[in-house]
Amino acid sequence: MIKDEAERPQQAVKQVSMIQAINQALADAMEDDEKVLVLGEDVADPEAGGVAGVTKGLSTRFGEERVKSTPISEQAIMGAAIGASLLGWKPVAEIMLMNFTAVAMDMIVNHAAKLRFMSGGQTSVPIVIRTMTGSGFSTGGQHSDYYEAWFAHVAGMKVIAASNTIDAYGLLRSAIDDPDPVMFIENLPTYWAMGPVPDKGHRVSIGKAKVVRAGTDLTIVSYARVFNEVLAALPALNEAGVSAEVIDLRSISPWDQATVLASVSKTGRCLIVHEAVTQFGVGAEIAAVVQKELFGRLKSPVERMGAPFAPVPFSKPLETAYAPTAKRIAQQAISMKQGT
Amino acid sequence: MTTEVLFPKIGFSMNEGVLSEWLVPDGGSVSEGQPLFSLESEKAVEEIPSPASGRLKILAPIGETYQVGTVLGVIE
Amino acid sequence: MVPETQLDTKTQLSIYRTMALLKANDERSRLVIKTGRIVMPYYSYRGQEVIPSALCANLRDDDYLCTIYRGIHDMLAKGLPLRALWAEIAGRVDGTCKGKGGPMHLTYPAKGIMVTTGIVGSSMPIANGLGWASQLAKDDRVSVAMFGDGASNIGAFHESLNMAAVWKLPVIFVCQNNRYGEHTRYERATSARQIADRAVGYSIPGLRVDGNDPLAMYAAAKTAVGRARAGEGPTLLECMTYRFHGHVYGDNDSYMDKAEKAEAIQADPHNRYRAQLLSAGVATETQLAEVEAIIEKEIDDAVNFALASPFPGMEEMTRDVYGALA
Repeated sequence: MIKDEAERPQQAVKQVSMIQAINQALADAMEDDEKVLVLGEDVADPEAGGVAGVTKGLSTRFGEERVKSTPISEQAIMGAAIGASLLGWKPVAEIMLMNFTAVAMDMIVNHAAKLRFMSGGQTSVPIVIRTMTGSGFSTGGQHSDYYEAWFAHVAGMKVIAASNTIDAYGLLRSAIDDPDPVMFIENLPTYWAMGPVPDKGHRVSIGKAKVVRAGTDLTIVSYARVFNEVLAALPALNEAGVSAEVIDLRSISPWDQATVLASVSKTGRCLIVHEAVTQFGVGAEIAAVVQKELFGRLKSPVERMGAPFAPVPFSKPLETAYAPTAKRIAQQAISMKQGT
Repeated sequence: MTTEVLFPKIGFSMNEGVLSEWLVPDGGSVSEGQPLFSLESEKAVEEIPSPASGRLKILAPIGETYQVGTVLGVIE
Repeated sequence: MVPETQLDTKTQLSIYRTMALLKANDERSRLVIKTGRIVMPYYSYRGQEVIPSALCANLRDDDYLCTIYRGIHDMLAKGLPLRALWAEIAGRVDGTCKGKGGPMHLTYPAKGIMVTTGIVGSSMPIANGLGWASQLAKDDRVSVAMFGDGASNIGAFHESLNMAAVWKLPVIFVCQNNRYGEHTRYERATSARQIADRAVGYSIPGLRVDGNDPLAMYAAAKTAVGRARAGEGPTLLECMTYRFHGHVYGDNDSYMDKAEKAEAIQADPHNRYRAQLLSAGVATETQLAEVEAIIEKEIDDAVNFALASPFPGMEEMTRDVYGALA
């Protein structure tokens, strides 16, 4: 632990937070394309550039016509984004918390996702919906849910989530380029987590997973904040002699089936980890595809690890135990390898 | 030219109905738009107009329940 | 606001022609359903033809329209071609949406018909987005959101009017008050004495107008459209009218007051305007009959075209879900 300024290395590697990476992606996108817009509650600088400052500086730099603070009106926010996008604008709408998407479900599910199809391809909705969530900040049962499974289940929507600063930048830029409605899920408690500085213009293709670490005993598939818990489980796995191949999905819908299946056909075991509740979650979809395609080649059943089937509790020890942790992930992976 | 006389769907929840009366005799001539048969729907008794002009050949007897889309007769 | 009691002949005849088209199209729609030629849920607008006919006489092709499932009259008045309409409601590949949207999702951007929704109230938030786009593009296009009296009670109405007012969007909120929200009478669902009163809550002008009077409707629309074009912001128009049929065509409409309905049909605004044009010497019987005959032929052509058009192939099932997939 560095104690004072004098001891700080002179050539420290510059890092940025997730907030800064997302902010940079928005700024670079708005600079590159005058059609990119930002709207949401408190997003403009008179309102401090967002509750967590993610959109700070944007309205000052690009003007309040392109960066608009809205009333607390999720349906109106989404409708404004959809309407403008029908005419070729590229709105990035913020729904402050993922739980509030429930207020705008009609606009998202009945309109954004479906207008291209129902119009026979005449109109399209190239919007991005940015939304934050996650347990760990004591925000309780209505401010912490991961609902990616809801939106992944809607034909016409795309759903993505980054686990690190470089992917956050690259996925968001790809989402803004994308001709379809994309939901970009951010994690509130780790907004301030630091990571490498993304290259300007960096893109991460939607639908492409990343094998972050190669291994032979089992495949662990995960995404978003809890992917970092998977990485944190690796030392314990190494010590137990379990060689895990670790995949960051990055895109939930569409998801990179080819990469996951290639990995599991090599390792024979698959564990899917997500922060959302296990039941009816994204893990169920992945598990169904893996067991169908690789039935005879699996060494053990596909396992899923998510949160218990309950709302996120407020009380600290309960909340801390809610989402999968590195310790539980390691225990699960070891017992899968050992056949216990 | 032959035109089929179809049992229509009138009303949201209707999948079938009763053909209550033929308003033109079998073999009789009919003009397009002239009341051809009546059916019982969830609403009331509806008179259905003829889709074409010509001679009616009745295929379906009255008093029976028919699915929407059933060919009740032809007009030649 | 003083309604214009004098409209030029050309506009009056144009409004009549549109009204006649809408009336004839509705009659043909019900006939086609009755003879089993097309199976679809049909939400008849008969009785409400004046509103879009007079409104659209104030609009350009590049103004935008968002309407709802009872909005085929709105779309025809805005310029939706008959063949594309009929092929779509027949579910054929030559329809506006390749048959994949159907009557509740007709879309025709060339005439500004940007979205038709099956969800009550959802025309309004999207109309706001189109209005925002006009502000960004600095053009003077206006956006019209059509909806019914029932929709004035849904959350989207309140969110949309509030946002449009705060952002001063060039949107006209047009409420076609036909006294019934689905099966429920106005008095049993709506707390406002009149829907136009609600405008006060959003600090925008609210105007109740006889939506069955072409001149009054034209004048009210002209005012609202003019405000929007001049950058003065949104207006709420409450247009009083009546629906001659039930919520969905063929339903058991016993929930409608029989005497009230009979009286409204008796006072058919179509017949009244037609008679006015004749007695004022704006048109002769021969002229009007010719207009009506041409309309019937155009509808014949459209229906035949639609029924001869093929259904979309199975590959259309998963086409247009995404613009691009990995």
